[in-house]
Amino acid sequence: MKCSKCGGYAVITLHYSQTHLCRKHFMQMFERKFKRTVREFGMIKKGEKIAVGLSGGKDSTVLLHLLYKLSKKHPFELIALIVDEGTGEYRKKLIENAKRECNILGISFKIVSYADFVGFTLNDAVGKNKQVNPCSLCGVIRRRLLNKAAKEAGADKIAIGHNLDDAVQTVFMNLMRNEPLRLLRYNEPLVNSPEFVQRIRPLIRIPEKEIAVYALLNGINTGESECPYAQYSLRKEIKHKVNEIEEKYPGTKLKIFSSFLQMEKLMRQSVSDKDFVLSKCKKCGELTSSDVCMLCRMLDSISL
Amino acid sequence: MILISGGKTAEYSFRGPAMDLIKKMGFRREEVVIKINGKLSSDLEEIIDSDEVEIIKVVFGG
Ligand SMILES: [Zn+2]
Ligand SMILES: [Zn+2]
Repeated sequence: MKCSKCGGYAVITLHYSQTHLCRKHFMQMFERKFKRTVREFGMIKKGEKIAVGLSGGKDSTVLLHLLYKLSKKHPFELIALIVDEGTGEYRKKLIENAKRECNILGISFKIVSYADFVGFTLNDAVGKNKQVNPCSLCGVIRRRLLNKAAKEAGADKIAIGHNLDDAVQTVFMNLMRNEPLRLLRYNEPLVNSPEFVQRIRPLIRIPEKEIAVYALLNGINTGESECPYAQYSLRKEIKHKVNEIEEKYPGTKLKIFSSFLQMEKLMRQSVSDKDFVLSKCKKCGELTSSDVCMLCRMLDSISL
Repeated sequence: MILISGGKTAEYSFRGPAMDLIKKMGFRREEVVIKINGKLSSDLEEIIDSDEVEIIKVVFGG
């Protein structure tokens, strides 16, 4: 296959736009898409301190590299928060990856662990209670832990490596669980509070496969493998189904994401701040929409 | 052709576009990348007998 732009050897075909791209033109397209997304959502302002949530997997590592490159042109500060879930060997390798990438780029990092935050690792929690869904628990702890660590580090925003595939899965999951309002806070918090550090997702318009190709082309380590708990997840099932549909009808993921953005806008117009009153969690004091926050409810249910 | 997939190397008889091979081997096109003779390639690339083809899974669950 020849590159649609220059006739060179194509490293990838983008079926949704029917273009073939060589290494150079793929990299150019990819980095432009990232920068355009940062601008589209006004994700980063000059002088801000951005904390990257770094897992050591390909998405967050590519994000770290892209933000690093961008920070050389538009002055903002970059730090990394390396999350240690405590999932044994699977994590250890990724954390080593994450540390090495930070050292190569000269970005300061902090390792934050589930064990220090809630007193147990994900492996402990799952081992002791088979009822608990590891992916839900992991997600809630991760969000809270990153928020806390970012606040402590004085960060203005948390950048996370969510890609287009993740976004589409989230849309489906919220629809399937009949929780459409959760989608409202995907791009912007519903309630502005200094308690919540805003989350940005600069890779949100990029399919996961393209992130992998970018990582491979740039020699970014991708010693990634399957999360040991992925088998439990509805997300994984949705992921495969969406990819099968994408293969048959290229462009579907982008269309779903665009629909979501439009729906989000309409939904935001019909809700007011008063619909979302937050109070302090009776157990931990964190701001929440119910009496007891999601994390405390989950911790109660596993009562280690 | 020589097929490398999941850490295994084997002789395999196949001719046609790479994406048909991906499908035949039970992968989803959106979840793998393909290297032909060591070079990252489009999945529309035609594979011939003398090629060495590697299918790399890049999208995982979770
Ligand atoms: Zn080109
Ligand atoms: Zn609480």
